[in-house]
Amino acid sequence: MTDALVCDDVEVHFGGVKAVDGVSITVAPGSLCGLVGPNGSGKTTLLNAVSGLVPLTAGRITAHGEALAGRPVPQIARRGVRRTFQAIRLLSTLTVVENVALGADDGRRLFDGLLRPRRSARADHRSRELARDALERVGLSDVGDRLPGELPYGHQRRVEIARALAARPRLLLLDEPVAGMSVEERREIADLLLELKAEGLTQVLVEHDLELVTRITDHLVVVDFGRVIADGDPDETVRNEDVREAYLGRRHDAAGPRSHGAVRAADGG
Amino acid sequence: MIGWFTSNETFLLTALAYYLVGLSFQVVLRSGVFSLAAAGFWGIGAYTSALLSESLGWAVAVVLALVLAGAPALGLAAVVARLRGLYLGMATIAFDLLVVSLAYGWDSLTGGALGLFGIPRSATLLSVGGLAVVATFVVAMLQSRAGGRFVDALRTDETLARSLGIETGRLRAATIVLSGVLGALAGAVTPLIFGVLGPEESGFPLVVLGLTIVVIGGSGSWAGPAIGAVVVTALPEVLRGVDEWRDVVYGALIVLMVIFAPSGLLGLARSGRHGLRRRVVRAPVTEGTGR
Ligand SMILES: Nc1ncnc2c1ncn2[C@@H]1O[C@H](COP(=O)(O)OP(=O)(O)OP(=O)(O)O)[C@@H](O)[C@H]1O
Ligand SMILES: [Mg+2]
Repeated sequence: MTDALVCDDVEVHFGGVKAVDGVSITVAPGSLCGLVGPNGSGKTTLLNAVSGLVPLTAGRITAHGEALAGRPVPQIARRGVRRTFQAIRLLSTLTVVENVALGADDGRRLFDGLLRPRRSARADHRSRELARDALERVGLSDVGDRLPGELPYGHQRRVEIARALAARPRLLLLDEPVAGMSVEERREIADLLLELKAEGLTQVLVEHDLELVTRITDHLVVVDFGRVIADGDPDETVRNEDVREAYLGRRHDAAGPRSHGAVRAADGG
Repeated sequence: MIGWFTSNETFLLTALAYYLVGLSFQVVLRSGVFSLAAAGFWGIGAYTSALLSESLGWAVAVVLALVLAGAPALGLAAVVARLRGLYLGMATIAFDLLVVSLAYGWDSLTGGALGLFGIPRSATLLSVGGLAVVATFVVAMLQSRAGGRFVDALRTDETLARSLGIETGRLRAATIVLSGVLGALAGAVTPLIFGVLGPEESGFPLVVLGLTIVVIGGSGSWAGPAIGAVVVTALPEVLRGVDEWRDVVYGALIVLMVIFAPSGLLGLARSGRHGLRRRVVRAPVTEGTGR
């Protein structure tokens, strides 16, 4: 079986900043891969590289055997690589269900509303159906007609996940999807990700809460300063000396309260 | 009823021409692709129909006007493909000014600064109204369902739109062309209404007119420019006798609308219907900078 995602010696530099500095990762199909590291270690940049939002300085990226690097962003998205963003990016003027339907819409069919009205009506119906299903999966069945700004923060994050799910992705990249959520909500989302894994969806999860990450991932990659410092079984990986140092050592203060989960897990591990 | 229509024919025709100007800017404002080139294409459309309607008939002249505007619109869209926001606005205004200086300079064709007179006033409520209905249909269908979501996504967050698989490059180009062709249509009907055409009519004042109409009416759909066009057409009647204050009133109106009703009268009507639901607007945060 071809790997769901292969990053081969990927480098992304911004001027002098080596945000990603030679990362090689392989994600097996159907697995849930954790990607952790201190603030500024290059996690988001790596996801941006996979989704095509930043150009690679060097290296190759393939998903399901197909080269991604160099392809335009919309093409990569339509190959089933979908993501959520670290900051909430919902359209404040569209309803929740419309926001999620955008995930299911075919972004190549720009003029169907005029040129093929019947087809566009059917596609719209389908997108909304997929959107409602996705909203139900994230536990938001009743808020489809509201505006995103009317929802609490945690629910807005769920809408983001629903939008990615409505696309029926083959590879889902999640950039801190539970940041700012309550403990209860975190558990619900973690359960959802496990369910999705059981259905065979490949996922890459960026998250600072090591306790959560080690509980649900099959495979953990730790990055620091744009380099992979550990890669393997989650429980073994968090016991790794370098990883403990990255979290507990020099970055302890800088990492701030978001690394509390990490500290606890690393201590307990 | 019919009597009212005939006695107010000029008012209605003016409102329809303004509506088409507004529509060409609604397309721009809703998608956030700030091409202001519609004013230049208005000039191309206006001179084409002014010069050809007598010999070819208004219908052929209007179609020719759209073709003669559509081709350079495609070229312009390709040239400005990489420009965004203010830079796109500046580049397309430069195009508008180019058309104006052509109208001044190409004496033999355009009549230079004096303009053109005695153009057959062949516009009727039926012909202009029919063209407006077709234009409305095109815009409404393009902005329906997923098409509407796509332009809203393009305006609000282009990076997000791309990461959702939307071909934003093609959408931007199509927006520039559509806005240009609508501008040309507005231009094509205008000399057929008034019988005269001068070089000062297009260019920057037309950009201001188009933006005013959409700011007053709203950019959410074709209904915005429809409302805005009626208001802007009626204003001179209302302000009769204080003509010198007209621009001041326009300016004040725009400022008031932008501050108190940023989505125009259309937006006011909508939020009234929704019981003034609170809308929290969240600006997209740059990715990679954390929360
Ligand atoms: N577009 C950009 N231009 C310049 N520098 C950037 C850009 N994006 C990221 N960086 C820099 O690259 C480095 C890695 O940032 P990145 O956002 O990938 O880190 P991260 O691991 O996601 O951090 P966090 O946990 O805070 O989200 C940082 O030093 C950041 O300032
Ligand atoms: Mg990040």
